[in-house]
Amino acid sequence: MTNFEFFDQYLKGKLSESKRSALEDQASHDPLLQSELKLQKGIYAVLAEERKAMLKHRLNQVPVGSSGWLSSMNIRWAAALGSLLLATGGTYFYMQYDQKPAAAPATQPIDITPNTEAKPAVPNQSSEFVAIPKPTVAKNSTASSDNISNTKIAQAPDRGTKAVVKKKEVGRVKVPKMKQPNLPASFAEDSKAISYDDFVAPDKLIDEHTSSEHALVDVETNNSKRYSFHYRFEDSKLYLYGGFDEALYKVIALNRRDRRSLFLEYEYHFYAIDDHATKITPLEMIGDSTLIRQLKKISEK
Amino acid sequence: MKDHDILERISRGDESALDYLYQKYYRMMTNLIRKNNGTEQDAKDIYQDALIVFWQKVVSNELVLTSKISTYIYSICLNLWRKELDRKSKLTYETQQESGYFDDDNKERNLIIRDCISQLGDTCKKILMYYYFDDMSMQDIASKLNLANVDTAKTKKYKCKKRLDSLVKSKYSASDFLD
Repeated sequence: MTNFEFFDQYLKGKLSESKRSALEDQASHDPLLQSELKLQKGIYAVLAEERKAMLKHRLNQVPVGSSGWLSSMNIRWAAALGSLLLATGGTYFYMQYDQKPAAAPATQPIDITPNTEAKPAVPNQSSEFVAIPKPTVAKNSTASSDNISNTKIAQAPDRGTKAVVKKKEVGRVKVPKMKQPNLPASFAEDSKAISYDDFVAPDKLIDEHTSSEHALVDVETNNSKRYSFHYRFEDSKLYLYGGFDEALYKVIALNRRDRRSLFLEYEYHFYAIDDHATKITPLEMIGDSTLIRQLKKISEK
Repeated sequence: MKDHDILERISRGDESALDYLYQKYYRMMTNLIRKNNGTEQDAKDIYQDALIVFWQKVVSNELVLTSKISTYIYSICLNLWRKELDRKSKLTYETQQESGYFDDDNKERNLIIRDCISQLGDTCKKILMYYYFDDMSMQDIASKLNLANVDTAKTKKYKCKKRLDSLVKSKYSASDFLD
């Protein structure tokens, strides 16, 4: 073993106990050896610091979902609980409202063909409300059946006890358009569940966040069995549906003159992300080889 | 990706496996620190340090894992955070004052060494870091840095280290390293 290797083994802590203590003992009597050991220890320590800094810098580039206590599971549970309370309360008031007029004509003869239109609707509505995870503000009349049920819940708090109406009535009653109020900062996390159709972010704000090519987009994954490889983009946040725990994903922004385009890199493939896709949308792989080359270049930076 | 795939990739020095772990357990590990009086920044720092400890142990083949990776990293986080809390509680004004002189002395030395490292080429820096910190084998270093073979890696490492030593010595006399 050369001196060089001997020092290396010492620095890495791989010398046997006897050899190590012999070396240190010798160094205590030899100032030159002592200074050499100190120099080597210093170099070793700084190399370690540099390497740690390099790894930390790398980790800081990895996109991670927001982890504030208000976000993620807490928000989901709060939203689910809120929906449940609203649904229960709404159903209760609806039933109270429906039953009061029926109690008045108690002296009338009993009708064998009771009101079959309204009553069966109650349990159906109730079960629909319970199943809904998050309330969202009504989007438009072309929403999916999921969105229709969400719509009902969202209307409930605004319209009081009469807000819970049957599907048919939604069509007949003209719902006044309402602007969303500006929420105070402390409720910023809660607002993630609400979509603002008429809201357009100022260009300046967007530009501030897209100066780098690796997009600083908040990402949340949902290991859903219902959706295998889908996404939606809402409130500057990307929601990924499916088994995204299998590999590393990365969001890349391509800045063009007046707009940016977002892409998802997953398992060496690239997928386009439409930042207006507020509905759950399947991820589509990019086939354009020029674009793929460009994205690979950015990704490897 | 299964635990054994991750271990296999890390032992080859594949840093993307570390990225994957970081992303996968970020929320779980940082929640642990935050729930124990840590700030968001504390949580991030501790989690990153824990992952680096894990990385170093796997890449140097020191680790024989008998639990899930997440359990192991979780326990590292917990230990690091306990140590940090302990350090914070012991850190008094007096001890800071006492250690001031030695800290400054070390800082100056480290600055010089850092400056010398920055004068090395990128490959040189990486070889030395992989060899000394990661404790990677010469075979892994050669393949990670696309070097022709193990002997090329060994020669390169030897030359880089010699250059670094002489750079540091040219800026510091031997007596500067004496107490």
